[in-house]
Amino acid sequence: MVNEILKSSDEVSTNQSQITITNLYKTFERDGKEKEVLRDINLNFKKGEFISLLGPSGCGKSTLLKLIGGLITKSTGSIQIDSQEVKDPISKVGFMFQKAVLLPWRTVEQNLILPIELAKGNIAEAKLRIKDLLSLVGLEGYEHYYPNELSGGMQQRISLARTLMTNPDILLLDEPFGALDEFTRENLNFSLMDIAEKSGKTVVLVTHSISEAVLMSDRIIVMGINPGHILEDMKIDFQKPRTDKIIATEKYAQYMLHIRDLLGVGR
Amino acid sequence: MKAITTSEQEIKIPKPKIIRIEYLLSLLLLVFILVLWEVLSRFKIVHELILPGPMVVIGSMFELLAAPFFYSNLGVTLFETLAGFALGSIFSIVLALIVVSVPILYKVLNPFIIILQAVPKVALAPIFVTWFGFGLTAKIVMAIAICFFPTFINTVVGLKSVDEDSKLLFQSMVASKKDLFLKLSLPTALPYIFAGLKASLTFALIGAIVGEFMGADKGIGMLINTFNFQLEMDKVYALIIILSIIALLLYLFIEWLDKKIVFWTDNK
Ligand SMILES: Nc1ncnc2c1ncn2[C@@H]1O[C@H](COP(=O)(O)OP(=O)(O)O)[C@@H](O)[C@H]1O
Ligand SMILES: [Mg+2]
Repeated sequence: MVNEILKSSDEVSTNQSQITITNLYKTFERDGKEKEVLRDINLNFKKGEFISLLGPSGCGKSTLLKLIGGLITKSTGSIQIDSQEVKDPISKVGFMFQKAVLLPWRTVEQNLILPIELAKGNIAEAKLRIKDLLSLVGLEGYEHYYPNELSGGMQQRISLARTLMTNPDILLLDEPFGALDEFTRENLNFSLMDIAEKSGKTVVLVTHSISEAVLMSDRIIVMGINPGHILEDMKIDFQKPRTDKIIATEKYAQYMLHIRDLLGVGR
Repeated sequence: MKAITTSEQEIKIPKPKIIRIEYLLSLLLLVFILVLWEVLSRFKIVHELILPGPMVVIGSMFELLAAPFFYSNLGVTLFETLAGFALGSIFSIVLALIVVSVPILYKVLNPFIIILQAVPKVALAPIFVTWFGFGLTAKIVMAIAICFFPTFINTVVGLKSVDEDSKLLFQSMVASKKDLFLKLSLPTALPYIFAGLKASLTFALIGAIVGEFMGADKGIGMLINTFNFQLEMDKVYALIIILSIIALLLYLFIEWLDKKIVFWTDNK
């Protein structure tokens, strides 16, 4: 079912770089003082890759994600999506935040329609997707609920479904389940992996959980702070679909220890 | 474990009873006040010219409610109130929208807004009479002046209360400026706007009455003035009670509208 409702829009070969970041710098100005937040970021993300941005709070993960999504402007350097320089938000990119930000005056169905409305898309056609998307995120039959009738986890599932409504090629997820309890988060992580795998979407996930990053990603971009920079671009080599069995492997432990070492966690 | 749940339930049960007792006490207090009032008046402890008894006042109230002249005067006052409220609300909401969407304008006008807000609007009544004469206009302008600020300030605050996350979300969904306003800012501001409207509707009635006190040939304010001069205090009290009931009805109406339109705020 994932294949049907979230099928890829084009047939770009999987080895081509979809997101290309070169010599990217970002400086914020505050109270007349300049603060360098990102220094010399160079990255290539391929179509269908699952990438995690991992690093301590304040290292510029959200800033990098917003730059990729065209929500803020870079200082220097280049960000290209499918060979196009990013200037403004584009509809092939879907964003998801730590807060669900559902509109309380709209039902679940109306919230899901919102991105289509804003993009002036075909609403009647979009409505046909709602049922499938809701069952994809495990909330079948909740069309007519209002957000404040749903738990935090359910709201975040709706938020994920809303991000998927426009069937974007690229998902930019900023600690999407960070505010949820561990059980709900694990659950949603597996749903997300499932969706990503079956749909072939490119996912860039911001997280500060090392274990989450290792379990889910094809690649982990480990970042350092002051200013934000890349410590290591790691390939995580596990069979797909991932199961939590990998937690018991030697390789998993080595990845974990290596990242902890990089970030200077533990002793 | 089970003992805890039952004791929690036991605590919950008496709560509604306490509320009922409070209602009962309020009712008893009302009866006490009415009896005291009747006694003070009937035994001439207070002169009945100053304080006619509740029975007399209620009698006058029904007398007024049966008289055709009462309704023509009520109509005038209601018209002034509602016209002032409608115009004042439209002005304040439109101006708030303009001021919020043009940041420079907001900064320039802000000191003036703060000063104007501090002016006791009722003190402007004589000026309005000089400007607009003794007709309806002066009363409507008075109502506008007094009910402008609550809605204006609330609309500004409401429009500015849209959180960054929602704005980012709309931005990421490639929303137009128009959609950002209609589908995010305006609904976010609605609960604030209604809070302003609720306050300003009763203010508009005050404005109309004060306007009529300055001189008028029709209206409840004029009737109060006239009966006061003729020392028919029972009718003055009766009119004040009627006015209070009208204010209450207007308030209940707008609260009902608020609950209908801004349904999502008390869903929880
Ligand atoms: N709009 C902004 N203005 C000024 N400084 C900002 C702004 N946004 C982020 N920053 C700063 O940039 C740094 C990185 O922030 P952020 O990207 O949110 O980090 P992370 O998501 O990794 O925790 C922080 O020091 C933060 O204070
Ligand atoms: Mg962040």
